[in-house]
Amino acid sequence: MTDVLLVVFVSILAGTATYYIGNIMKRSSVLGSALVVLASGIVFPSLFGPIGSTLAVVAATASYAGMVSKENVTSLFEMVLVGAITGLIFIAATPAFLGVGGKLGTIAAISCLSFRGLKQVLFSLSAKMKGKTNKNEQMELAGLTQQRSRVA
Amino acid sequence: MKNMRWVGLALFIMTGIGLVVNSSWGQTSAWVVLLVMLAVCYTYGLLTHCTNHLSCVKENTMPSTKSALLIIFLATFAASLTWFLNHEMGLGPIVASGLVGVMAGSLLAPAHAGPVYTASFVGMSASLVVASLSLSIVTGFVVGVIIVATMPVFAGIGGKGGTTAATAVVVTRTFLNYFSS
Repeated sequence: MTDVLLVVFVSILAGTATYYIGNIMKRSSVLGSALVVLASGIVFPSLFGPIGSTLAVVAATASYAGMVSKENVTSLFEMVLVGAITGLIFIAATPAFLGVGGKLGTIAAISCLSFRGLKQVLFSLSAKMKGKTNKNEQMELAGLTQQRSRVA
Repeated sequence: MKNMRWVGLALFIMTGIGLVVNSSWGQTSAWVVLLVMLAVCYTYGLLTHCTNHLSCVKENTMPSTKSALLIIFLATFAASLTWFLNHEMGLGPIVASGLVGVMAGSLLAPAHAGPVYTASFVGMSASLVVASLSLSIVTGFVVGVIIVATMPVFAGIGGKGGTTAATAVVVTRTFLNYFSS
């Protein structure tokens, strides 16, 4: 469980750092991601020993997700959620596509699109609920108006 | 070229779904449930993205021949350089790709930095998958072609580059395995 939390934490950190450099500081997202990847590749193995290499790979994966455009992930908070999703998919996808270059980016793309899908679903549900609430209010208003006209 | 974009989009989708399905094998039930939920959200997100950006596969906006050739050359170079740094110099895939990405992001225009960084992901492949420098050159060429052909597809989605690279690696290996058997 600790490993899962650590992976998710590093994923959130790396993803938001790359998103911040690319979308908030308005620098090149390639440069942002590459800096995060390079820094994590050097720092994590030195600081954390054997698990450090894995954390560097996690950070790289999340940094690719952090290259997402502001159109698809509109805020730093949303990027935190994408980072968390990326960390979870990274763990789940450990045995898949072994040794295939681009696997990490594919995980990042799945994370971004999954988040987008989840956001759309929640937005649609929220809109339907608001639609029902408005309809109920309108019906109540219609009922009150009829009562007033009868009294008058 | 428009047909290539549809092919590219289909390959990207298959690569993503392939990863999710491959990840589900031999997993505990909790992880399978999570993967299924993510697969549903992924599919829905993919459909809305494709619907909103359908023009990206229909538009006839292609880079000029000169620009396309330059991108393919840079991609081939980047893939092989990253492979060299990764396996021959022993820097490992993360540092190798990071170095190439920092150089690309600092020295090249964004239109070229992106393809170079994407191609560097090919060079991150394990030696079991891309076994030699010459194979990394071939795969780099393939990823360059895919980058040019599918430029507006999945635009703005983080991880598009990696998906492109994974697609190129899988396609190249499939072709080579087919012709060598």
